[in-house]
Amino acid sequence: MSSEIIIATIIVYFIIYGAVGFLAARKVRTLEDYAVAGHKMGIIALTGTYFATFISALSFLGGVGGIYRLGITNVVYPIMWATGSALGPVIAYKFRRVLLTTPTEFFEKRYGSRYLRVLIAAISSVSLIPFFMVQLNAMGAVYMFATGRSFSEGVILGGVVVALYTILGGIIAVAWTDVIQGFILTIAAIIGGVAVLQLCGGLDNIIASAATISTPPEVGMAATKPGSLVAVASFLTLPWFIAQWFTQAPGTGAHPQYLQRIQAAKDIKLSLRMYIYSWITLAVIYFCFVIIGLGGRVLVPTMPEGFKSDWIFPYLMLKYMHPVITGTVFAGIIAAAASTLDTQVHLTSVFLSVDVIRGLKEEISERSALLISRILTGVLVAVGIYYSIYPAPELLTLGGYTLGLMGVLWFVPVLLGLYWKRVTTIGVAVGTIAGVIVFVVWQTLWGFSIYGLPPVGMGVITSFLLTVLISLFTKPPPEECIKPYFK
Amino acid sequence: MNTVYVFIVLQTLACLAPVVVAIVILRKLKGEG
Repeated sequence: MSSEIIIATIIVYFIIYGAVGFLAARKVRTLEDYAVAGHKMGIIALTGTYFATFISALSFLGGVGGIYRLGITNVVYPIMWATGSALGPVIAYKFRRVLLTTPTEFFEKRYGSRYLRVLIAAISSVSLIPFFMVQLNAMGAVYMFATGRSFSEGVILGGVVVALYTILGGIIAVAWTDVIQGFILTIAAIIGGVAVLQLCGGLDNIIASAATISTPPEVGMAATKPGSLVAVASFLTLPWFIAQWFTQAPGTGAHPQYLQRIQAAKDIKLSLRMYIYSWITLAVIYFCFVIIGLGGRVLVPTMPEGFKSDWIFPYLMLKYMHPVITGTVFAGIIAAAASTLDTQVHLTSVFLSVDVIRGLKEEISERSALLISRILTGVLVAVGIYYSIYPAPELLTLGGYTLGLMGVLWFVPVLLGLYWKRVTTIGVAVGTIAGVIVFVVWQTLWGFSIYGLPPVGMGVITSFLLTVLISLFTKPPPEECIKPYFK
Repeated sequence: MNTVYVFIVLQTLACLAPVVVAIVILRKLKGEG
C-alpha cells in the first residue's frame, strides 16, 4: 500500500492539531485558563477530551490484541474500568463545589495543608512521567508500522506536535484536539468493526469460527485450545476478579486527569453530562473492539512471524482495506496515543509548576507560574522523547506502577474527603504515605504471589484503614475547610 | 445463551453504569434546585 497516502493523512492531522493550538492560545490569558480553561469548558470539549483521554493507544492495540489472544474473557478489563468510572459522577457531585486550579489544590482546600498538596503533586508527577512515555512509544511504533519510516522520526514528530499545541493552548488546546482525535478514533473503531463483521459474515459466524481455532495467536506461543476463545477462561474466578478490580478501578475512577476535567466544566451539571455522553460512546467503541479482536482471530488465526498479536487491528486494515480507510485508522491509533499523551504532559506540568514550585515558593507570580508551566511541558516532552528513543528499563518498570499509584494517592483521600466530615489532615497524610509504601513494596517483592492479593488493593486498603483510624484520634481540619463540601 | 453474547451484554451494562449514576445525580441536583 502507498505509504505516501498514510504519511500525508498523518501530516494533515498534525497540521490541524497545530492550528487548534494557535487558535486556543488566543483564549489563554491566565494560569486558570491554561490549567482548567477558566472553569468555562462546554459539553463538546468536555466529552471529547474525557473519552479520547480514556482510550489510549494501549487500549486501542492491547485491548483488541487481548481479545485476539485470550478470547472474549478479556472484556473483563473494560468492565472493571467502567464500573470504576461509575465513581466519577459521585466524585464530581461534590468535587466541583469548590473551584480549583489543579486537582491537587483539593488537598489544601479540604485538609488545610499546603505540604500535603505539594507531596501528592510531586508523587503524582513522578508516576505520570513513565506513562506518557508509553504513549510516545506507541506513536513511534504506529508511525513506523504505517509508513515504513523510522521509530525515532515518529516519536519526535508526534512529541513535537503535541508539545507545541499543549504549550500554546494549555487544556483548551488539549480538549479541542482531543475532540478531533476522539472523533477520528471513534470512526476508526466503527470502520474496523463494520469491516470485520462484513468480512466474516456476521457475529454468529465469528463465534462459530472462533470456537474451532486451535493455532497459536503468535508464532512461538502455546496453541489455543479449541472453544476457549468463546468460553469463560479458567483464570476468571470471583477472587481473581475482585483482586483485579482493586488493581484497575480505583486509579481509573479517581484519576486526576478526570478530576481536572470535572473542574474545567462550566458547572457541575456539565461535568455529569460529560460522563453520560462519554460512556455511551465508549460502549460503542468497546463493542467494536470485541468484533475486531474475535473477528480478527477468525480472519488471521496466527499472526505472521515478526508481528505481535497487539498489532492485529492495523494489520487487518493493511491487509483488507483501501489505503485511505487504512490511513484514517492509523490516524485514529495515533490520535488515541496523542490524546492521552497531551493530557498527561499538561497535567504533570501543571502539578510541577502550580503545586510543587509555587507551593514551595509563594512569591512566584501567576504570570511566572504560567511561563514555568509552559517551559516544563516542553522539557517533559523532550525527556519523554529521549527515553523513548533510548529506553531506560527502570523507567519502563515504573510505568507499570502508574495506575496503581494514582489509585492509592487519590481514591481514598478524595472519596473520604468529600463524604466523611471527620477525616483529618494527619490521617490522610499517614494513610496515603503508608498506602504508597505498601503498594510499592508489595508490587516489587511479591506481585500477585500471596494468595493472589493485589498490590494496589493492599495499598488502597492500608490507606483507607489508617486514614480512618488516625482520623478518629486526631484533630479535624478547620471548619472553613469542611463547610464548602458539606453545605 | 452464548457466552460471547453474555460478555457483550455485561460489558455494555458496565459501560452504562457511569451513565446511570450520572443521571441519578443530575436528578438529585434538579431536586435540590
